[in-house]
Formats: sequence, structure tokens, C-alpha cells
Amino acid sequence: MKYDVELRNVTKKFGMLTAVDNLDLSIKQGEIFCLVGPNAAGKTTTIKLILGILNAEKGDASIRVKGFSIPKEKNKLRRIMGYLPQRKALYDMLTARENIEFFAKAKGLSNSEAKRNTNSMIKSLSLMEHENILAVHLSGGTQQRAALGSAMVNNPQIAFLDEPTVGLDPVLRREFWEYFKEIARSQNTTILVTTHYLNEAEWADRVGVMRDGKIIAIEAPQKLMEQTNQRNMENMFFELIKGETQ
Amino acid sequence: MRLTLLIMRRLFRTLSRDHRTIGLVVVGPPLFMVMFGIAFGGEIEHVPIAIINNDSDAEVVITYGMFTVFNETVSSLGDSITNTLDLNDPRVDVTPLTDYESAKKDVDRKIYTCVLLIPVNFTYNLVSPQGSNISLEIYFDNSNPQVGGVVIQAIQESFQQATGEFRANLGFDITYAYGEDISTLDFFTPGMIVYGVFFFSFMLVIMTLIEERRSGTLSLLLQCPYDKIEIILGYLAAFSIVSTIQTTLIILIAGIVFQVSLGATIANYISLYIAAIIVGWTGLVLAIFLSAFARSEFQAVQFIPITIIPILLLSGIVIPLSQIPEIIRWVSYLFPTTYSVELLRQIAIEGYVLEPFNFGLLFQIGFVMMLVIASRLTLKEN
Repeated sequence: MKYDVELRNVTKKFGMLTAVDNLDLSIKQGEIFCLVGPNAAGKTTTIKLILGILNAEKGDASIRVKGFSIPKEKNKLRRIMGYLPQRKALYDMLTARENIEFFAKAKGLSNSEAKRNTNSMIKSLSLMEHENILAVHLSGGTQQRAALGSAMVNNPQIAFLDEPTVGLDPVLRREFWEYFKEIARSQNTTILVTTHYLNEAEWADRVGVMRDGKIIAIEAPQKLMEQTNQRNMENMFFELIKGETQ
Repeated sequence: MRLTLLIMRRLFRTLSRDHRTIGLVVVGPPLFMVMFGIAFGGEIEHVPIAIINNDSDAEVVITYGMFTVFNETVSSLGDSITNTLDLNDPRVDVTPLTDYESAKKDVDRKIYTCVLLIPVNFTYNLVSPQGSNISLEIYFDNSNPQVGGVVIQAIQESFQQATGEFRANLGFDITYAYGEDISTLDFFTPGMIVYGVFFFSFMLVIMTLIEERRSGTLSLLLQCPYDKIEIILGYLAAFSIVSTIQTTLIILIAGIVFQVSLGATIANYISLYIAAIIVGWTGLVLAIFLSAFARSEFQAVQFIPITIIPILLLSGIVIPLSQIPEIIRWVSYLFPTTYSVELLRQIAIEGYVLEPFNFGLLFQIGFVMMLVIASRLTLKEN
């Protein structure tokens, strides 16, 4: 089995707080993997460790992404990855199109590739009506679509999307997940998504349930629900917590 | 009233948890007052001047009809003046020289602020009834009128003291190396150009970078497959253009609206322009470097008391460096703006044309390069 992401014994502390606690995680190529958990579970810290933005505690920790050792080879990873940070990272005074095209070029695409990919991204994310509006004047949902476009415009082999659906209405959340599935299927893109909306994790191929810096369960969503005899992910999560505390 | 009290309590509570603001509240005003006191409280001292003393003791004979009523050797007043200035006047440091022409060249090269030529038979001409009128030559660099005024005053006082009542036939013939018709505005404008360009470049960049950090776009940029140095140079390049526009406006308004003399030749103007653009760079790189240590616009503003104000007070913009106590003056020489002010004044007042190996210019370029490298190390997402 080929894994695009492999974390072994990864720990990250902030002072007294252990944000990520001896984490092991493997994500397969072309898989949509969802890290789900409440706020402060350690999801964003995990993504930042994978990207080499944060360094793991010294010890026998190992992080490999697409065969690159992180943080040593993080610059090589950056050429083939997409990253959507938790905040809507857009330039207010650029239009949606200009934002996407700027990041296309910043990610190393040629001018013609950047234009082509921007056009296709605007189409895939249904931004045609808003492409020439300044980001500051876009609605929250449209801003998030433009931010997702900026993250994915280089057709990355692997994407890290930190809470991409936060603050979106259910219809738009659904559309986002359909988009993730589409690019995973058509481009074999590996996608790591974090969310605290427990129910939307159902749409992922596999789910890692995080709590207090640890993954307390990892499995396909259907199996997780079956194992806990629950019909939705939210109930499954509470069942898991109950099991942990008992 | 309840809301007033509520707001007051809330403000104190939040301020007490912001350690940097507490530091600013406690350290800021004393630091400001100390710098102000140091800068304005000092006296202009140890200004280098040269004296060529060709005078000697004089045999003075005064006769009344057939009678000689006075026949004595009068000690050289030139020696007395030189000694007074050299030993008793802290405002000037005297170097005795012998060759007037060579000393004038030293004034041109800014080694001395002036050279005073005490002529042959100075004492005799002054004291003896047969003496002729005396014109004392001073070759004078008045590019800094604050310093120049103090030097002239010191020289005049020493003559008054030494010559007493024998001053009827004494005059000063001042030749200006630089700054003959300098007005207060002419003198202060180069410094204010430095301050204006530095301040606006600094504030614009630090605010933009903090906004970029706050919005998360910096975080995205840092995940792009390029070295961080490219981000820094991108900022530097873009804001250099903005800074150039600001510089152009400042220079145009100074030159056209206020008729400030900023140079005699096209070469002067080009030099002034290049020097001012480099001032902008120093402000830009300092802002890029410091932006790594501020998370909000509020924290960025807190850098003003530790950057902008010391630069205003200690770079020679308002107060001459020779007025700043020597124990503090080394701080001035760490600021690139100290060299910028000196350079712009040389260009605008003395007609200097920029040379590639000018120390002040190289210092500023070194400062820019050093902070670009430092910013490369400090520019981080977290």
C-alpha cells in the first residue's frame, strides 16, 4: 500500500499543553481523509506539522509526505501541494479572479498555465458571476470558494484543507465535498480535510477522530458508525467519547 | 456612569494583560523624555577648527613729540587667542597649522569647520598707533548654521577677551566654503526629507505586512515553492516605487513651493534623488524586519517610540550631532538616517555629487542588506 502521508510518534507541545500527542497517521494516495474533532482537538496543529510550519518535539518522530521527509524537504513538497489555511486568506483589494491567478503564479505556474487553470477553477467552483468583484465585497461563502480556488489552482497532487467549510451553509458545504470527491476521482489527488462539523465527515473515504491531540478512532465512516451502532457521525463521536471516559 | 466605569475597568483589565503595552506605558514616556533631554540638553562642543597664527610679540614704541612714553614688548595676542580657544573653550578643538591654503582644502574636505588666519604683525598693528587696519581671514564651512554660529561666537569672544579696547581697526573677512546664503529652511529641509521618506516608507510597509499576516495571505505565500527572500525582495521592489513617488512629491514641494535650494546642478539633483530613495529602502527593510515581531497594527504603532522618535532626535535632523553627548553619540552612528542626513545636506548645501564609495552610502546599503538577511530569518508564519 502506498501512503502519501505517514506520521510516526509525532508530538507537539505548547508550554504545558500537549496539542498533538504521539500521533501515528497514514493517508493513502488518492484518498479523502477527514480529521474530525471538536475545537482544540489538535487538527490544525497536525496539518501545520505535516507542512513543516511547526516542528515536532525532538525524539523519534517521523513525518513523510509524498516521500519527502518533513520539515527537511518541505520546499519540495510545496511544489506539488495545495493548502487552504483556516482563515479566508484573500487579498481584499483583488478580485476573486485576480486572487486565484496571483496564487497560481506564486505557486510557480507559467502565465498561460495560470490563466488556464484560473479559468477552470472559476468554472469548477461556480465563481463566474463573482470573478470580477473585489474579495472584500464578496459574501463569506463566495470568499471561501475563491480561497479554495487559490489553494487548488495548481492542480496539486496532495491538498491540505483546514476547516474549508467553516461558516458555510449546508448547501455550499455539500458542494465543497462534491468538489473534493471530483478532484480525488479525476486527478487522484490525496486530500486531508479537517472539520469540526462531525456529520460532514461521512463524505470522506476515511475518518480520523481526534480528541485532546490523539486519534481515538480511525476508519471508514460507515464502519465507524456500524462499530458504535450509530446512524450519524455526531452520535458516533459522543459514543466514542463515552467509551473513552468509561 | 455605569457604562463609563465598566469601560474603564475593562480597559485596565485588558491593558494589564498586554505586557508589551504595559512596557510601553511604563518605559515609553521616560525613554522619550530622556532622549529629548539628551538631544536638546547638550551644548555644541569640540567642533574642530584650525588656526594659523603668524603673529609674534611686538615692539611697541609710543612717542610724544621728542619723548618716548612707551617702549615695551607686547606679548603676541595671536598666541593669547589661540590659547584661549585651545585650552579654555570647550566649544572648539583647535589644531594649529602653518599653511593657510592647505588648511582651506581641509575645510573643503570637512576636516575642520573653519580655519582662522591670524596675520603677521597682528599684535603690532592692533596695539601700535602706527599700526594699519587688520582684516582677519576666516575660511568657514557654514553648511550647519547651528554649529557655524557657535564657532563664530567662540572666535569673536576670544578676540574680545584678548584684545580688550584695541579693536577699533579690527575686522573679520569671512569666506564661505559652504552655506553662505543658507536659510533655516535650506538647512532643515534635507533632514526633513530623510525623516519624511523614512517615516512614510516605514509605516506603509509595517501596516501592509501586518495586514497580510493577519489576513492569512502571508501564511499562504510562505507555503509557495520559493525562497522567503523573494517575498522580501518583492515587498522591497514594490514599495521602493511607492517610496520613490513619495520622495518625488516631498522634493518637488520643498523645491517648488518653498523654494528650498536643493542643489546647483542636475548632478546634485540626481544625487539627492538617489540618496533619498536609499533612505526609503532603510525604512522599508526596518519595517519588514520589525513586522515579524508585531501581530497587530496596535503593536506596530508601539514601535514608533523605539524607532521613529530616536531617529528624529538623534540622527542630526533637528539637533546637530556635536550637541549630543559623546557617550550617547555612538547610538546616532548606528542609525542609517544619521548618514542619510549628512549625505543629503552635503548634496543640497555643499553641492556634493554622489560617489559610489561614499561611506554613508555604503553604510546604508550595508544596513539594507543586513536587515534583508535578518528578515529572511525572522519571517515566519508562527
